[in-house]
Amino acid sequence: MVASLAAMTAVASGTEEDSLRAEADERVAAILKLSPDPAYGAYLAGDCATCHRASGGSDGIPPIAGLPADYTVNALIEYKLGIRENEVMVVRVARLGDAEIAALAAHFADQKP
Amino acid sequence: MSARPRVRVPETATKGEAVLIRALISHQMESGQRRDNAGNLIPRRIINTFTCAFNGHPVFSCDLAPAISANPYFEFSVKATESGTFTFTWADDDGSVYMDEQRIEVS
Amino acid sequence: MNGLTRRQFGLLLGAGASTLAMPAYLRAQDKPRVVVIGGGPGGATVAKYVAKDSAGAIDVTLINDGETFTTCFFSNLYLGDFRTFESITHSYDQLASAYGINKVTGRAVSVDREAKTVTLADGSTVPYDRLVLAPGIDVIYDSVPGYSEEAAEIAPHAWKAGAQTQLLKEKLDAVEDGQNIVMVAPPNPYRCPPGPYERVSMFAHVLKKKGFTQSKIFVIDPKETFSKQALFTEGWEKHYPGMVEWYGPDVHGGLKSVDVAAGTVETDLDTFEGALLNIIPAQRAGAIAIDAGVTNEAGWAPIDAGSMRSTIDEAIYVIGDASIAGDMPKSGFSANSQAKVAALNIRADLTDAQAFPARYSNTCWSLIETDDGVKVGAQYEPQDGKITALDAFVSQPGESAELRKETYEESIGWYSGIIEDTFA
Repeated sequence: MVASLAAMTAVASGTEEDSLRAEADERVAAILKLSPDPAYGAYLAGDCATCHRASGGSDGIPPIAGLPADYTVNALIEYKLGIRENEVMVVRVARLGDAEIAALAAHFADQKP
Repeated sequence: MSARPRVRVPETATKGEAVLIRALISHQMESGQRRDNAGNLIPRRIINTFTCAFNGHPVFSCDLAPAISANPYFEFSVKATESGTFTFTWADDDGSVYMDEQRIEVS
Repeated sequence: MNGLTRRQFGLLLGAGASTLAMPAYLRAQDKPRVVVIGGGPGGATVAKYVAKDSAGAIDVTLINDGETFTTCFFSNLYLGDFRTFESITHSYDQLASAYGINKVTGRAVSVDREAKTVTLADGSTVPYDRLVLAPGIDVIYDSVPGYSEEAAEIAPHAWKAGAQTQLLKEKLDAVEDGQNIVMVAPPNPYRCPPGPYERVSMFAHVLKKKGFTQSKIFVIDPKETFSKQALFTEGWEKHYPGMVEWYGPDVHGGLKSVDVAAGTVETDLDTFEGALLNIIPAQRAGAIAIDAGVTNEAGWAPIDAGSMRSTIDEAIYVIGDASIAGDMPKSGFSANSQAKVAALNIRADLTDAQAFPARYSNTCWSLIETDDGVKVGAQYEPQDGKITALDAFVSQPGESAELRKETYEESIGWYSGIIEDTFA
């Protein structure tokens, strides 16, 4: 209770950013420790393929094929915590848990654009 | 673009029956609040009054404000007493007056 | 679904123990067969994903009644001169060569669910172990009094992309200043909820670009509200002031009939005239789904929310517009998303592949004017037996021009992506 009050009053002073960053780093580290299921990652990645092309090409949407797993995990957590803003991505990650994020990141790291 | 009225009055009615009158006018109703791409206010130009008369006697009238959106549509009931003609009048800020009329046979 | 059904077991043994009459060569067949009817964002995607992810363990046949496929999505942009017809038309060559998919150009005319065969217009039959129906929609011509297949040659619906779209484009380009366009919008449910209004925007864009000042675009809508209405209304007022008049049933009082030769649309309130009529009738699932007996009284196919399997026949999956997919709109994006869930479940049926809980997504982008794009979308999961929207987003009125431009550019990236995902 005290901690959350502190977080609320910290908005004005900018330490909310720092605490979000710390939370992000903690969650990313936890996810990178998981052993992801490649079949699960391949299945989940199907829904990303329409915008983020498997070939790695892009017009207006960044390519993600071949990105290192820690980068991907970090990016997805940043969308979850509101550090990154894009309404489509925020909605896409809202229903992803740690196992899903780990599986996706491993899958994209393995993709050769 | 000229404003075009469309009205719907039943062709016939029985005496004492409440008839539904419907009137639409195609008009942009420029409120005077919007700005163009250069940031200048687009001048107000709206239909400011709508009246309906039957055989010369007013049965419905309305002052319209800039808040009313484009293509104002009115629907109201009138008691049919005798055969005759409904006339509809819309007055535009720019001085134009649009009119339409429809007959009704009441028996 | 794990384990074999009695019928599958019987097939493997070569025993004709059930009511099936299987041709001899099939009993010797090793690979299970998946047949897909409909080669659009639903059908072509499911064919590709089954073939690709089963690494050759499943025999896939894709039946489409055209050599190429013109996407209905982005066809409005072709009408608006933002895309060429060629750029929205795609071939199946890559699917055939890269994934070993057996592509058949032909029209499926009937399904024998007992025998598990599909019959084509040329009389040939194609047997299946699993059938995917992705036939899209058919328009119900007589839902609009006075409209017919013949009338659509004069007043195109262009709600199935291809020749109809080109006809509409021809007629749009022939409209002169002072002539009007009248669109009759469809009732729910229909393919592509924001589609008619993006199309209206494209009509307006073309007329505005030519410097027309006297032409009107009327929309007679059976619906009281429509997808992204606040955004379109704001956009029409901003970009095409005075040009677009949209009327719902509380104003027009109901559509009475259309006369395509005279160019009139009669409503209870009044008759609207136009040099171009774009009549978009009510719709139902593509005919093959109706014929196969997997649709309900309203003409749409009920499916299991976790797999896209038909609730009427467990050997059949229905995806895309033809299916009743809960909260998901009938869109190309939805079809492609549903195709992946279906592909996964088909592989789990026929091989030792593992199925995972279904997840679906959709985003619909609409272009209102050059660099002014809007979007709406959501994530979906099965909940209480229905595909349910969880977490959604939609563009807001008053957004910056920069954001609207980014939104449009996102849609360009998405189009390239979904085409690659579906056809490559």
